[in-house]
Amino acid sequence: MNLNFNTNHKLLFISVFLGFFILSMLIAVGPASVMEYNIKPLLESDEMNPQQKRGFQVYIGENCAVCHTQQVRPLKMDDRFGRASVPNDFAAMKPSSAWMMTPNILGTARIGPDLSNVGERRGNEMWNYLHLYNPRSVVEESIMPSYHWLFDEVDEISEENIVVPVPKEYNRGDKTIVVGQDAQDLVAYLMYLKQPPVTPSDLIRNRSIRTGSSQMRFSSGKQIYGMYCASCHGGDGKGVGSAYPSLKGSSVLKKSDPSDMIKIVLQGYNGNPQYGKMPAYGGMLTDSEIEAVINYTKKAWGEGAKLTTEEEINKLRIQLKDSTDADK
Amino acid sequence: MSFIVVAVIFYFLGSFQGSLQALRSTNLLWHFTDYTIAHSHMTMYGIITFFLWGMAYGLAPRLSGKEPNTFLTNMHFWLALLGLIVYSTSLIIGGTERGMSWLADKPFLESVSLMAPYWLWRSLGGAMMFAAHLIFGWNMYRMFKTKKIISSYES
Repeated sequence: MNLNFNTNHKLLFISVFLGFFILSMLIAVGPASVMEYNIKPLLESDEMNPQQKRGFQVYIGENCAVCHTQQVRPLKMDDRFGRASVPNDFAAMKPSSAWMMTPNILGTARIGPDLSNVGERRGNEMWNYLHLYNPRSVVEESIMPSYHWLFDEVDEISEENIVVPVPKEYNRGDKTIVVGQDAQDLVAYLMYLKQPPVTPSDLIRNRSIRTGSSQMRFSSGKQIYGMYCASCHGGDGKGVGSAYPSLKGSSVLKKSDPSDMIKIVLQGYNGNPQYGKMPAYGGMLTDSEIEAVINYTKKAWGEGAKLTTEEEINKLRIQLKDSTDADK
Repeated sequence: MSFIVVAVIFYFLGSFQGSLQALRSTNLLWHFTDYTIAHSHMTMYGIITFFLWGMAYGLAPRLSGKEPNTFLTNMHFWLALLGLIVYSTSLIIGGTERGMSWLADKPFLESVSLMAPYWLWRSLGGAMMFAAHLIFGWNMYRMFKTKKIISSYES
């Protein structure tokens, strides 16, 4: 047999092809399939329901991933978006058919904030509708485009319509804005984006994962306010038109007894039908963080109201927990 | 041809910048920011597109025996080059500032507002690049439409 590559071109091409094939199996296909079989989703119920799946398609179709990442790095500057992403977070994601690649939603540019945990951070559906209809209506500095085509403009509201309280100056016409099917699906998908907690045994290698609760993530109450409160109550505390109330001049904020305010922050509030629902922050923020953010708002708009302390918050937290336990 | 020279320079710049970006410390600052977008435009636009234009201006006259208008070609070249420089410089500066703002744990929105002037410059650069493309198209169309044949290329 002629083993000379210079004269036996068949041997040359077969060797090149086999070399390429074996190497790509070893360094690409092999590791990928090992990961696919070993890495499981963190929750059993991590599968999306049909509506969330449709919303995911809207997410891809509207090209959200161009400006929004869905990967949190284990860095301090990424803590604001949630815990560091782990391979398991992406295990449930499969291509929709054998001819399609897995949708790339990890993203490469963070023109807007990371959305890995947006269902937790922005767990308010109405806020998301307002924001999608026109981001400026809730976040003045936002540069995100308005996705008004996901909504319908109607003259008369029917039973099943969800009305979006768009402030007049942001309404494109003078009709009532109601949620369209696509917007509803998309928001359902966004609400699905919640990071489940990670335990070391979930991971292949036990790498140290930064979790939010183990450390102080924010250096000031102003930062916490900007992260969790400002999207509805406004950076200046003035709220959003008829959708979210102003903190400036709020009687709850000015009260010298802070317990009502602490309860609202811990449990959320839905007492006033005129305004949107406020989510509960008890699970998201620690006592010292709540103290920092309440005192920030009291200093800014409380007109000299007495500040609160971490002990007061802790006491109320235990009280509330006892009373809900007793209800059960 | 000036197009080829620019492409070669950007090849060097882009490769050097790319290696620099991959360092751990610089990546910490620049990852996810508009710096990356500046880099991709410097390479894909600065290298590949300029090479292609150099080829087009070099080959088309030799193939057709006709010559493009020099003034339009110069306009195309300078608009594309200056547009690219305006586009990428503003994003490099803006991207760096944005990365620094993130590292300093400032609110995310602040990093959006600080980008506004750079995004304006970027649009200006982009508009110049787009105008350059229109001039290129018009120049080529004019060239192929004329009946005038210059025989100097017949060798």
